[in-house]
Amino acid sequence: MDFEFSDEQRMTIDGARRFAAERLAPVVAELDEKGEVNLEALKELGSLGYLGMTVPEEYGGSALGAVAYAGSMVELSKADAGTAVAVSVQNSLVNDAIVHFGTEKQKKEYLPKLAGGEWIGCFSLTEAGAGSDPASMVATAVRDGGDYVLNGTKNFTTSGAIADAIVVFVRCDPQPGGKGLSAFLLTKDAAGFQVGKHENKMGIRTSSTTEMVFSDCRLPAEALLGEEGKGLKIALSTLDGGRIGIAAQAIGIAEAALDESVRYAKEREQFGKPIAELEGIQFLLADMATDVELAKTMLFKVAWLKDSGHKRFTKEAAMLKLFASEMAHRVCHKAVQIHGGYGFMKEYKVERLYRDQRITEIYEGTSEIQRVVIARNILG
Amino acid sequence: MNIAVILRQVPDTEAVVQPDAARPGSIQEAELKFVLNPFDEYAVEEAVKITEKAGGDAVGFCIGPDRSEAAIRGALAVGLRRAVLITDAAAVEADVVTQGRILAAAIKGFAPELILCGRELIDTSDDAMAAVVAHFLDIPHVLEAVKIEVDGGKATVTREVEGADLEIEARLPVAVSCCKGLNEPRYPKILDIKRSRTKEIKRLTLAELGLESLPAKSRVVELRLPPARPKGIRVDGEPAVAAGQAAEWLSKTAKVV
Amino acid sequence: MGGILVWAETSKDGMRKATREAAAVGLKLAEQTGAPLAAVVCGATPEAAAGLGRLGFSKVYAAAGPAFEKYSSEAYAAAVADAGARMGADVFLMGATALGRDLSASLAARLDAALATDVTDIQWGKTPLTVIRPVYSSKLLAVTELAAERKVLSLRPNVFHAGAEREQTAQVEPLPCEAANIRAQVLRAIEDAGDALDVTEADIIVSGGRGVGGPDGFKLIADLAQTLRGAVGASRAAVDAGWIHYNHQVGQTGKAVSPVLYIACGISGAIQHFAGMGSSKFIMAVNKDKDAPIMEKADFCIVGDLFKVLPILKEELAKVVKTN
Repeated sequence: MDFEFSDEQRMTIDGARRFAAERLAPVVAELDEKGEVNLEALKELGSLGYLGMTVPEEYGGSALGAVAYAGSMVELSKADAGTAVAVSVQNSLVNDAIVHFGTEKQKKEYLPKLAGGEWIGCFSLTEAGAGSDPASMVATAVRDGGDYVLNGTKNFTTSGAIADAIVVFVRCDPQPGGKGLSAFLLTKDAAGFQVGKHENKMGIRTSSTTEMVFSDCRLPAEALLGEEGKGLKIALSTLDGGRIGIAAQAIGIAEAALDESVRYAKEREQFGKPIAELEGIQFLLADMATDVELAKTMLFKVAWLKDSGHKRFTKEAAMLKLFASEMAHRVCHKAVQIHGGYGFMKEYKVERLYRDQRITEIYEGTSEIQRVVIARNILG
Repeated sequence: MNIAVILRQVPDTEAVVQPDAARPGSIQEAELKFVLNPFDEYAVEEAVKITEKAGGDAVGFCIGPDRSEAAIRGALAVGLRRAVLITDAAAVEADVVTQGRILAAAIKGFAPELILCGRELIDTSDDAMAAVVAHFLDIPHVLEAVKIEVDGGKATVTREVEGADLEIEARLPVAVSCCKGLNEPRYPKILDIKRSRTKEIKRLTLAELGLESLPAKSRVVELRLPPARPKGIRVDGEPAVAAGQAAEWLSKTAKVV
Repeated sequence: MGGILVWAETSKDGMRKATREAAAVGLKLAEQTGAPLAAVVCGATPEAAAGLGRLGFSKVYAAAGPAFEKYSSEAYAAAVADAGARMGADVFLMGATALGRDLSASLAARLDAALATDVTDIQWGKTPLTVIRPVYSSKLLAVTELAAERKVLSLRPNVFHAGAEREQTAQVEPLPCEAANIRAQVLRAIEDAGDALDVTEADIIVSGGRGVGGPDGFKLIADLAQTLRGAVGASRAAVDAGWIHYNHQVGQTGKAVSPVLYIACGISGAIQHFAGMGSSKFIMAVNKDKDAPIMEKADFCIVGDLFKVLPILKEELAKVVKTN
């Protein structure tokens, strides 16, 4: 066992920390208020290699692996969880799906641009009637000669408005159930595709979330990502990796809330002394720190499982995502409590962290779905 | 154009540093995070920028304990070609004039046209390194550059003094210390971080430099915490009332008006 | 102990304040040790050189000529070293101004001396000479013994008190001015626009941070500074945001200052900022965040909106200034 980062991992994570402090943190409050994306910073992260961390070097990736990626995600999320989720989607969902299921042609065409930040990617799975149950989706792709014609509306797509490349899941087989789903890979300029409604969100407001509308969107057969009918398998196995990113995001948010709380507790005086001297506050902080530390340990374990080539880490990824997101909920709740009335005010960072945290328990599999996955794995 | 960049690893700027009771004159290191001296980042960036344009090698020179390798790796990741590290305790613990002499001896064989370092070492708060190294190499120096232009055997350097900017022309080779404002240090690319692993960090000893007897010129006999400031007066409420109380404090207590 | 030589730095208005402070330290050291004391000045008129008597010097070495019209490390260090050799000096004193720091470095290397820059205190009466200087960005103070035979000290401006002027004229000894091989030459000096006071030697600094909100907010800061005849400072956040020039930055990556009064407006007071101004005699803070770290460090804290407080404070102070 070795709990030390390698030099490369440490330098990459330090680089993310510096970038977050200098490029994300100074503007996040303003962008959160306006609900705007920090696209410039996102692209710069791409040029540095942070959008292609698990893409092989031959396809323009930086290929440093999941541990460095998880550590970097924590750092970015500490400053701006909205930008961080776009990083997570690009690395874990879009790139990984193409790396594992794409044809050589798709890899060569998409990966260098995605890994270098020239393109932003999105992963369009959810529909209005198909959230936790993607098998119930109704958007369709119908074979027409050598082409497929896509119709339907996907929603809640992260980075939808800024995406150049789209991984979309639709139904090829009209029979209900998971067997009929297929994945397609396309660019935003495909005829018949347009970005739909922009969502106005409670948290991670520096990320874009939109509807994706397909109306007679004609794609050549080579746009199919993986085999026809294997869409659900692609979605689920890709989401395993995605859970590392979302867990890292939750941990980053929680760690930021902890840091803010420690600082505030030392500065804030009540009853003639800093509140950090009150046992009631100390216990809250101790629990928060323990929660963050445990989640982090699990984060790097799962990232290590992925890096060391373990084929299956579904159960561990689900446990991690479940624990980390609910942990972040507990920690942010306590952080606002420690800040008292000030924690409820937008001038204080924990107000945003509290809002940003909430989605981590929901997207890329709700806590309930994670429990289903875990139970299925332990019951066999 | 070959450029030597002087590097130092220092405690992180946010670190809380405490004197080490067991070692007078030293700080407690166990819990500290170390980074490249923040001002050295400007020197590294400038060296990389110039060599990218004009060709040549930018090479780091560092005095420090083994852990300094981490800071050096960071500089290699953003573009230095290789580095030299001197870890002898006698060098690490030496005063700035002696360290300058050692660095000059290490740099001499490389014969750079430009020697760059940070404006100040944020650990010992020494800002003399460029001038000292320049003296021992018998070359000119300019401190605290906010602009460097190299052209035709000379460098034109802008530095700030109280109330004015000085434009200084110096014959090459020249040693220059670098300030904030000179450039925007880049972030390392992950691929370059990976590739920096193959770059050489060569160890040099004082014996190899022929500098074995170095009497201490000065010695820190004690590090102490600055005296704590007493708790102040606090006013809030109506701006007009608060401002009135402040004006009175300024004239009666601080006696500045 | 050999002699004590003070480098007298001139400015367009005469002798720098830092020079008067260095003179006072030189006098006290000479008094305690019985060592001879002299000053060296470069590029000054003979009258100005003789005028150094008012600071307590009976002997002044003066280097003049074209090589000294503008500052050059090489010519100045050579002249100061020459003067030192003539009087047998082993302690060299100067203010830790921009040029003083440059000269002290060159001189120490040239003389193979112990160098102590930005000295804030001296342990009087100790042998060898022992000084105190801030290190680790002023988070600690280093008590430093200067063991080498020769010692070069630069003194942080505004820390040591200048003595009262005396009715005395110094005996001036011109230094022969050889055509020095000057390889780094000042081409020109671009004076700051206006007569903005620099923070280094200012007695009063009014400083703005993130809370100032933008370049317009700095007008409020400048107005108050003008009323108090002080300099305008800034935090790193304000400089990085592009609201004000880097020249004004106080803190770890800016300048270290020790004014009599430092007014921090909309500055949270991060450890890096405090590193640059923590040794101010009085600190006033104006901040709407009553829990900002600066409020723990300041002698007088106003919890409130600086945009409301500063204009009224300026008016109040203008009244006081007028009645005085």
